[in-house]
Amino acid sequence: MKSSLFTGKLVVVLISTIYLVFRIVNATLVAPFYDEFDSPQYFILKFFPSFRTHGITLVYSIIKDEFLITIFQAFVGSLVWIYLWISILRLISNRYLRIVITFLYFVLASSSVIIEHDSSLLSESLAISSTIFLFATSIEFFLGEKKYSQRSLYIFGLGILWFLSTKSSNSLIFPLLGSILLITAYQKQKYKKLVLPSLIFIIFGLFFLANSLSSDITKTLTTSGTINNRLVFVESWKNELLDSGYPEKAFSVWNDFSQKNLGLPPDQAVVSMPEFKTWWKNGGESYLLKFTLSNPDYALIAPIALPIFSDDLNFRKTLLSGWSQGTDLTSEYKGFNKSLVTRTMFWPDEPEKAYLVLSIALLITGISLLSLLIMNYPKEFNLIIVSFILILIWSYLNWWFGSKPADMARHNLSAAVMLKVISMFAVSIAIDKFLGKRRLN
Amino acid sequence: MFRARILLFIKYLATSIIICSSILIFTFVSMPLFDVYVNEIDKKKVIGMEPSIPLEFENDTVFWWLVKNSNTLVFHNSGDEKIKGNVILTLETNPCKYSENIRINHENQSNEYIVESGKNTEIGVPVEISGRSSTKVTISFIDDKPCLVSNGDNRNFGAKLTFWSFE
Repeated sequence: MKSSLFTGKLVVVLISTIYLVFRIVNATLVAPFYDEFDSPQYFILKFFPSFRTHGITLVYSIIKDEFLITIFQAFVGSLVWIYLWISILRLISNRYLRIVITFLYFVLASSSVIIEHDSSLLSESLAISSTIFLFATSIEFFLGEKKYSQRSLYIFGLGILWFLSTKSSNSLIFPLLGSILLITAYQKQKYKKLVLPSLIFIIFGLFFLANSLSSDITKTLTTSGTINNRLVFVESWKNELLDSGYPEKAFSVWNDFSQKNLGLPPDQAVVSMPEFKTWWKNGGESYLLKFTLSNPDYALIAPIALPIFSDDLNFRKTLLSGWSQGTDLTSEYKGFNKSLVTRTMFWPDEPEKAYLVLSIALLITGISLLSLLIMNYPKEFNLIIVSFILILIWSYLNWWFGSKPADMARHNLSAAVMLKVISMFAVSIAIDKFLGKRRLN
Repeated sequence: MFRARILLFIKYLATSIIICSSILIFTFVSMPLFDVYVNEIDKKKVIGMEPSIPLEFENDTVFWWLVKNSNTLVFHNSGDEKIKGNVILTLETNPCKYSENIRINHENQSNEYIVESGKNTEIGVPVEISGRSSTKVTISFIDDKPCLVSNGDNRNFGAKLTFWSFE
């Protein structure tokens, strides 16, 4: 018994070490990718309001060196993926299933779509890492051996705060994540012990939320990008926009700057127009919010089925594309030539296959959830379905306000990764429970 | 009891929605794209041409002089989808103003055309380019008759490529 436990631990240490070394070596082989528009702001640490989130600016401004940042991102990324793997393994008792899941898990965790961001000086690497860490801590808190313990509660709280601090769109779901944590904590722990930690948690959470809502820079660009990539293609949406006082000239400015390189990206060219600034002051600032609230078809259906509204729109501008395609820095930038990683079967290069993989992932998740429901495993079911719903809400918020349609794949990467992780987690738990029940019978 | 049943109903509903959505994504989103003629991206925006001959300008329009020894036009698909269509080349005659017989080679296929004097000649070359890859089209001139000019330009001119598009 002792010897098999030792062998098991040895295998875990060996696999973890190989993964860690592989990811760090890959980061050393690739030239750091510096985005001239987005990257500089990540190196500026400001207390409030900060254009970029503190979870990234704090790291970047302390380390400063681009190469060391990529190594740090690879190191942190490796640790959180290993942590999640161990958390999942602890719940699976079937030995063969453990081997299969370990293989599939590390194929996913080693895919270029995830690892290439270690070498990118943007928020994606740490944002994915924080999401994976949050999921791992939620597994430990709700399903782990020491579930609902004070230690697992604090780690879960820490996971939420780290997640909130890595992307503006992450902090928007603080009310939901915070409520889940606090309600469960007050049900399972003693009231007196929780007052101070809860207060600290709420202060930090509100700070990250307020910081995300404070910046106008991304809001103007996002509004301009959303209007010209989505709203203009549907006559009724376009008319509503013009009725609000939006300058018609902005459409031709967008087209001119899209067709030729005139020195500015098209969304920036539009927001620099005096007419746009006047419209912005006279209600344009909250236009997207008002439009989304008054058009339920746009709010609920468009994010996943935009082509229904116009033949000129396609699924590439929807969340389905964001959830399935992944990014492709490895083939787009010369600095990534020496990278050892490939897209793997989880992220086919062609869109039709990428959508197919997404539909398979959803089918697996759905069937696994159905099995857990029938076999009566409510805790496992609840964790998976709540994580799934939170991903949907996060993605919808992101699609409505936080993401320029041109960046659909990059901005929805955390959700895309999580949908695949969740399907793998769901199927492994469902099969393990099924095999466990069969053995008992 | 009633609350528990409602909760159970919601759980089954959520699960069914996830399963149905996977089938819908396969049917309406993924499957149509397996047809190589159906693309999500605008083909015209992702196909670029890199010719072996230099780009030249006349007033505000661009053109390329094809020369008598072989010319290579590389068409690159920067999108992630396989694209099938026709490269349309619009040619004018050489500066010597006589008709030319040309041969266009593409993927082991060779076709001959005549670029007539005083006319625009449109030639369609069917191509299929995988995502993020290229295909080569070579244009050579069948006749040996030279076309040299006396302004110091020592090129042996073939025909003038005035426009190209992807349809």
